[in-house]
Amino acid sequence: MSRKIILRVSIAILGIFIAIALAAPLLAPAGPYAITGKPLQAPDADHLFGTNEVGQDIFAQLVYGARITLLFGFCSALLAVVISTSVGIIIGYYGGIVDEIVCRAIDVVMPIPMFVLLIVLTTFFSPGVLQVSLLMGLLGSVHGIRIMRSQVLSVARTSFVEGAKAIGASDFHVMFRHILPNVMPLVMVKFVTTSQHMLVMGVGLSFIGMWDTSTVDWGTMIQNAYSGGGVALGLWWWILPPGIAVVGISLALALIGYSFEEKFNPRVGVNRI
Amino acid sequence: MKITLHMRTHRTGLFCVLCVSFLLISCFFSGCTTSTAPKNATMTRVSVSDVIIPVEDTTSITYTSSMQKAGTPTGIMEGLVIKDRDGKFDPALAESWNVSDDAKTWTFHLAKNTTWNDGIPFTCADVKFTNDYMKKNNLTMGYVLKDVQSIDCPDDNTAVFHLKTSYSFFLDQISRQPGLSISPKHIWENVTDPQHYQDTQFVGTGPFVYVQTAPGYVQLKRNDNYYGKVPEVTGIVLKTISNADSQVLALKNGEIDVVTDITPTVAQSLAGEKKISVYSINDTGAYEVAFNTAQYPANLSAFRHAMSHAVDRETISSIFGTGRPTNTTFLITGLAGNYVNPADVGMYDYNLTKAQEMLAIAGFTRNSDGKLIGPDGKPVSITIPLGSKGGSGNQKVIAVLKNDWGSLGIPITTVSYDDQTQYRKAVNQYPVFIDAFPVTLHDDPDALGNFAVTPLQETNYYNYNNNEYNALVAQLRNTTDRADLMKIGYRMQDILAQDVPTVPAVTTDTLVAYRNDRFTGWDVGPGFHSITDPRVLENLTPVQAS
Amino acid sequence: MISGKYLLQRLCYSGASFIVCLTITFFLLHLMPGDYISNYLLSLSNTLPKEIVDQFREQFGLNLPLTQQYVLYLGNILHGQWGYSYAYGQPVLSMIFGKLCWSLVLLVPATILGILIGTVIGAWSGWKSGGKKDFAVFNVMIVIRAIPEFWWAIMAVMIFAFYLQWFPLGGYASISVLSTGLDFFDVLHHALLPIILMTFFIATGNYYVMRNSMIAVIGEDYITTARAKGLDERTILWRHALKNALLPMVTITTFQCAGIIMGNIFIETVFSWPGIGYLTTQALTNRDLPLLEGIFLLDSLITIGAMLVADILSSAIDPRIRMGTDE
Repeated sequence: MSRKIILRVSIAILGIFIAIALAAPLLAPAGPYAITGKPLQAPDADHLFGTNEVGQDIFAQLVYGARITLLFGFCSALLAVVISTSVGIIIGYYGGIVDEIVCRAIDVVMPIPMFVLLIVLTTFFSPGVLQVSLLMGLLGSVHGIRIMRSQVLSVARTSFVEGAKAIGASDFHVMFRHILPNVMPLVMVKFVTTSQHMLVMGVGLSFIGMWDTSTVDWGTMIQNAYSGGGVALGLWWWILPPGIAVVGISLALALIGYSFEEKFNPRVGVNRI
Repeated sequence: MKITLHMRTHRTGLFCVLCVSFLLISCFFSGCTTSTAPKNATMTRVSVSDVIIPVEDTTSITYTSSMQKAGTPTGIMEGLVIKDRDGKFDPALAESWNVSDDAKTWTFHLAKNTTWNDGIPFTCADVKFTNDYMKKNNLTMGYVLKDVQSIDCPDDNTAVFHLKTSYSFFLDQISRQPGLSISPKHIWENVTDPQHYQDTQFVGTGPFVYVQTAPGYVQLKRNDNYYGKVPEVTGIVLKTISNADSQVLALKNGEIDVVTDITPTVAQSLAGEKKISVYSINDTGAYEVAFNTAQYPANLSAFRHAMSHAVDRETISSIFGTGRPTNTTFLITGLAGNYVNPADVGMYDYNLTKAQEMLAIAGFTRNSDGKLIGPDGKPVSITIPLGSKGGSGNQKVIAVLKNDWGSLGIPITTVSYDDQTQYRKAVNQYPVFIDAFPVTLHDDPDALGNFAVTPLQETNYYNYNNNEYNALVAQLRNTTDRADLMKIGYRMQDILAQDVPTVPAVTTDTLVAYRNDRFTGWDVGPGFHSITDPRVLENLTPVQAS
Repeated sequence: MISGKYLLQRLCYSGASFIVCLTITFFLLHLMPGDYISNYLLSLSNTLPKEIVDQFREQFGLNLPLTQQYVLYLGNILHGQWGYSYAYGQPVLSMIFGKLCWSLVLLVPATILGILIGTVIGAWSGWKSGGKKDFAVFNVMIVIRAIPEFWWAIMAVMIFAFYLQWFPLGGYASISVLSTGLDFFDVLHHALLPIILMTFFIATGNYYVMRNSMIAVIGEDYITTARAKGLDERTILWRHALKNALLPMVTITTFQCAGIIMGNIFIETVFSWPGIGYLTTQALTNRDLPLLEGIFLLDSLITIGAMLVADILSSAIDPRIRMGTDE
């Protein structure tokens, strides 16, 4: 079926990107900062995608940029999912006062504008891509906790969980052996869609210049080209490679996410806000 | 296809929704007009000979007047003197001036028969008022006049400035960006809360007069009663275009007449266009590789000397694509002229072998991996903080340093700070930093005061402290004779060459592209620092449409 | 119906939430590294005149202990005094509204259209789920959503504004505004391209929610029962499915309406349309604390209001739903 083909192609694209990121030192031995040509040379045999305004090879930057962009997306998504899942399971399982406190806390934090909050917080922890990605993960988890909680609530009522409790299994055992496997499909879906969101948001942050500009990542590459007038002058090799890379990875992740969602959850009861 | 019927009803529904949203737009937009349009808006036609200049955002420009903040619409307010790029001071509101021998009393003879553009005559009272008012109300812009004790008005056309201490470069202080703008007494004396006052008239003496603000635009017209050269262009329109890319597109489309601060790439490709010309305002920015002399290894004089031969100016300059390598110890030859000590030119030549030898003599060794090992037995690595001020320029310099210093066995890493204060703190913690200066801070011996420690300046970014140097800086402040100034300046440059607190790298130019089918004369004249300089705008002549 | 007690409880809760938001933002912003006056003076010259900095800090009460500043600030806010911008000396509220109304010119039509289009197509797609058409629409929506907004915007400007010249490159209005004043069709001409782009984006988001909700509803017993009863498909769609599927949309659309106050920084940058997003980033780079606090506060207020409305609406529609117990 065509859905399967789409999923396979998306996974293949994702795999290729990860492989490129891992093999960056092999593909571009000179590194992303080395000045290997004249500024803004069009693509030729030496420079597969030409050079940027400093004379650095765009292919090398793209390959090394994959590392930071992907690391950023996955790191923040991982943290977000881990936090929202564990908190969601704990409050969903115990309920009562813990549940009440956490839910109220979330309600209080929700009205604070997240995007601006993120930018403000990055100034505290500037510099560092890793710190920003962890921060994004932390902020991103807030929205996920509720979804996880309601999923856990529906699982916690099922007979096998009640049964496990009845035969005296410890809370920890029930949570990790019985509840976690049942919410795992949702966790997977959340992980993939969150990494897509985070990745695009990270690129967006660099596009508006609210980012550590000394790192080489796809967003910074696009920003440099755009603010340097690359689009207006039709210097396509400057802006298109990072642009297509971002679009490619984002599409692949989105398609994987939706395929997973349909596969694991045919009723698609997930409320994605 | 049972749905199709309903889709049709949906279509009608959608159409209704479209209408409703358009209605909503009109509501909002009528709301916006009342809040952004000036109350006294007099609709004037936009003449074809108005220059259209892009700015990032027009609204913020008109929030404050020059009494409150620098950066109000250009050409409306004026100061006493203007410093041109040859280092000469041109008269503005002051026709001529003289200074006492101790450089403490400055007398300005003001332009006669000058009026504010609302018809009230301009006199010395306005000058005195500006100083007194700024200080009385603790206005931030008053810092420009922090050296002034008081101003006297012997008559309407003479202003006498009494300084707290001798200051031979006082003219520099009041003419350098943002400088001193004289504000009208008759307007401001009625303003009781200047911190929160919103000026809507912008009464000034300059060659242009404020007309109106409209969403996305600010309009100025020429001052036909201007005491100086009346501009040939009929007016200026500032237009909001937020990003560089759109500015270039708008220039190509002919929507605007000029774009400044374009990159060399943009300049190159625009130069091919028939109706667009490109010129450069030379040496407007400068970059240096600076040392923090309090941090290892930059606290070792031998290290600084060695590294001064490891800055490849030619390559850095070629990456910038504009400007030229700097071969002096600090001052930029193109602007400072004969203030530059010829004996110190070319002291920091680029020679990696020499740098390596000097490092070896100073006790630095290379290990088997090629890493440089310091005298303390540990590998040397350098972290360079990056601020937002220098932007991409700093990174270009660092890209070259990474190559060269890497080959000497010194790995370079960077840390970025988007906040200026945080960055300045970081500069104090790391041995090397890249500084981007406007050239106005590189053009005379007074600029060398950067390296001094004086009662007025307790520390400097280089953490450099040399007693002889400090004494020379103090001496400079009360010296008025140019020959003496040069002598002191030469000695100071000798000391810098010997101690190397900084290695000047390159200067950069400001590249400007303009529509040559609209106005000419951008590149005529003494070449000021930016296209919005009133003296540049005065020189423009409209091209007659044939 | 909603009981008075519930309403009161909900209102108290919103008030508490507001105070907590206010406190968090105040301390967060005041502890942020860097300050306005040093940054501003450093941008003008290379030395920092200490006495000017101290004088400024004294004027704005920044030399007081933070807790004391907080008490003063709280008092001012409760008296409706939002303060003056450091950088421009203007009242914060009037500055915010000046930019906000331009943001709303884009966002109000885009949000309304986006919600409607998204819901309609989503409902149709969910109803037809599994079919070829649904599959095609679904994938198109994924593609639209997965490509970053600014990328769409850059491409749209290049194609429609520069090469085809159907639309202006950006800005609120053409230069004739200086001689003839604002003209409705002129502003519309400038706003159309960004509105279309944003509509697309908002529509795709709503599309998913609506489609998912529709699919969930179709699986419910009452739909099967209705079908078994031999009811007309059209009646089932309108009477049963759509009505129930729209329930979760209430919360989402309220939040979307609240969210429009933050503006859209990407669209504003690419289309030279300085709005509230631009104001926020400028205030942040300038460290203009009163302005930032104002923006944060207004946003929290509107979001809290939206939460209140959403809660009351959904509990009015479905009395089983009460705050917190959304299982």
